[in-house]
Amino acid sequence: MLWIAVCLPELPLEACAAGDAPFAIGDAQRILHVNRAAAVAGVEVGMRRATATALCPRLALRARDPVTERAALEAVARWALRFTPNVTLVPPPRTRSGDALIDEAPAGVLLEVAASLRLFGGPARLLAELRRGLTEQGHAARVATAPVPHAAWILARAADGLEARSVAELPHMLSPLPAWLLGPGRAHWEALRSVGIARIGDLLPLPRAAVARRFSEALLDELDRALGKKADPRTWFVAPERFEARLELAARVDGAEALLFAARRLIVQMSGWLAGRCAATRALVFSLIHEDRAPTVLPLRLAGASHDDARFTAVLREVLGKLRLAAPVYELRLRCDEVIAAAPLAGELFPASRAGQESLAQLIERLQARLGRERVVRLRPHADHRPELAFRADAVDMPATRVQPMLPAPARPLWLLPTPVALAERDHAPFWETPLTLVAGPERIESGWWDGRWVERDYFVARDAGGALLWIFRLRALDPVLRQGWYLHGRFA
Amino acid sequence: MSSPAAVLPSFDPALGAAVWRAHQLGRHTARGVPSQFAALDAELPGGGWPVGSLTELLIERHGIGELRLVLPALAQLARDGREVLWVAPPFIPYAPALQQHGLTLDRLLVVNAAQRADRLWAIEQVLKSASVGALVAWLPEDDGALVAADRLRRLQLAAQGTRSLAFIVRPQAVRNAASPAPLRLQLAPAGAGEERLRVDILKRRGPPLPAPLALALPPVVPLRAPARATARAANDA
Repeated sequence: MLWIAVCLPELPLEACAAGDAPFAIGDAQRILHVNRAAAVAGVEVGMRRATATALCPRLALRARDPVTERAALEAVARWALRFTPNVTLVPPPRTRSGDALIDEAPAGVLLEVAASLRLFGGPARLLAELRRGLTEQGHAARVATAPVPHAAWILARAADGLEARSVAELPHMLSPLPAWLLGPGRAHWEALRSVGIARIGDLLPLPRAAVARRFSEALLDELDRALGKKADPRTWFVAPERFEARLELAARVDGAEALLFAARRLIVQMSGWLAGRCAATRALVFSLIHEDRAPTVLPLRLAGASHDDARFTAVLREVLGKLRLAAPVYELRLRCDEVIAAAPLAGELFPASRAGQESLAQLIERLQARLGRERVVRLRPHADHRPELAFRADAVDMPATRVQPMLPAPARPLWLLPTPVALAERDHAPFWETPLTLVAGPERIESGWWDGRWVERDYFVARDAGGALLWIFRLRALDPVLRQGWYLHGRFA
Repeated sequence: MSSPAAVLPSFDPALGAAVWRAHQLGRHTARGVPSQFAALDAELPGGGWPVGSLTELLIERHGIGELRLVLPALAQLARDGREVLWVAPPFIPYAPALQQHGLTLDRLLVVNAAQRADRLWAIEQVLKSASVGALVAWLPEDDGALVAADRLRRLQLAAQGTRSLAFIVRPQAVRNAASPAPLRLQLAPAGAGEERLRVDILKRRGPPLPAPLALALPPVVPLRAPARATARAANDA
């Protein structure tokens, strides 16, 4: 067993994306957490609220919000599922709903990764990847590893980067740490101190019965679990079936480009969630929540399903780039409904063949994101005799409809005009910049009486004085739209 | 006085193909994609449409045979499973006719971009993507305002190093404007009543071509004489 503990001491702060504005979390009297901008302005943890606001008038000061913090912690857990299915939350979920209790102790997640080490190329690489992802989501984390969960957690709370390799090492590593890191130790902190016990190591040589009687059974129990002497079952975090995440922006954002940074946090979360479920998606919806108007909804589509955060970010960049924000944004939401099971991406012996395909899909996505989905099309023949209905132009990501055979036809022009252009007539011959001479024809097309787009035309191939070949027709009967006479419908190019 | 050849230091043979002498057809370019017009291939550096560089086709107006000039090469690429992209075609590319010319429609992507900035952006994105076999792009706005040479240079830089063909169709009016495209062809109908295209090579890596080429285009029709067509049409009226 190898447990990684991720302790998030600044989670209350990180649950809101403050950007560069000074921002702090406080209780009724004191400041509890400050971000960098506030720290630069001189605000410190433990300061009185009044002092802090006097030092930095622009300071956004908020109380802790258990609901937001909980959501932020679950977001981290959801993302952590990409490393292992065995993720557990600290503190564990409360049974009572609507519980507003706030722990003094920091929150975090525990990952049991023994089975994933090989996939990620060893513990060092896995840890590096984990840290990179946490930073990307804007979390300052303390990470520690140990063979038992509680020891890993205590180590992570004490300092970043501690690694206990075996159970035998645990007493040695835990001994110098303060005794209040054990949960019940905090309650008995004064009593422990008065008998000269400041560190976990001081508790170890004491008679067990006496410790249990004078302090509590819970303290002894926790000590045993930390040292691996007692089983420590955990309940695994189960990811929700649908992905929905929100990110509150502490400072109102009115530049679309600036949103990208915050949005990326959500995208990284979602890609972790997808990877953890061996799933992929091709469509997701961003909602930008404004103060007093309807949210701006940004649907993103990929040409192919993916769980690669870089691809979503590339598409989002194009969408945001052309967006004009009507009002400042104070919250971002990301929803992903269309989840499909994806084959887990296995390492390939010859990865090049796949790379070409991938990058074509990415090119299509970029083009669609900027130009619009229906502007990138594939053409398909359609079995209809009427020239303007003999093809379909479908958005490229539409599923291919049944391919219809092309009806046998004589020559067709490479260019078709969107609407036929009326031609003048001189000396009983059609005229288009120069007099036209008929080269081939007529080809009579009579069709479409059943759907109200009746066509009754004689088509000719004509050549103008310059030598270009044109496709022209002559109306045979009264047409509901077009006037009697000659029309230009295509160019042979 | 010694001859110029003696004055010039002889090139290190190791440089070999990397040096292009102005009186020769460029050979250092990668082997091109055959245009399937033997007369044209003989005059193009690399023996075909150049890969990884811009090719400008200047036309007086649409529909003089410019598509039939490039389609054989595009159809071959599509048959080889490579993607062909058309950016901003001026009219609707007509699917049945494209099939008649042997282009696999499953390999053709059409990108419609109305705005000039979007169009240039799309062309650049396509060129940067290594996954495309050929690009044909239309830049019609030239007749209003000239596409700045530096934008074209960006496109040429994006095309370099790819394995794709890149055709830019522009109006004849820009004939005398500077262009970074290494190959520029001016196309015109050879004359009334002929299925031939006059191809003037304005610029290539090689000596200038003394006389324009006249290429026989693949016929559009199994031509049927419209013997009584005019008479019939007149009667109908």
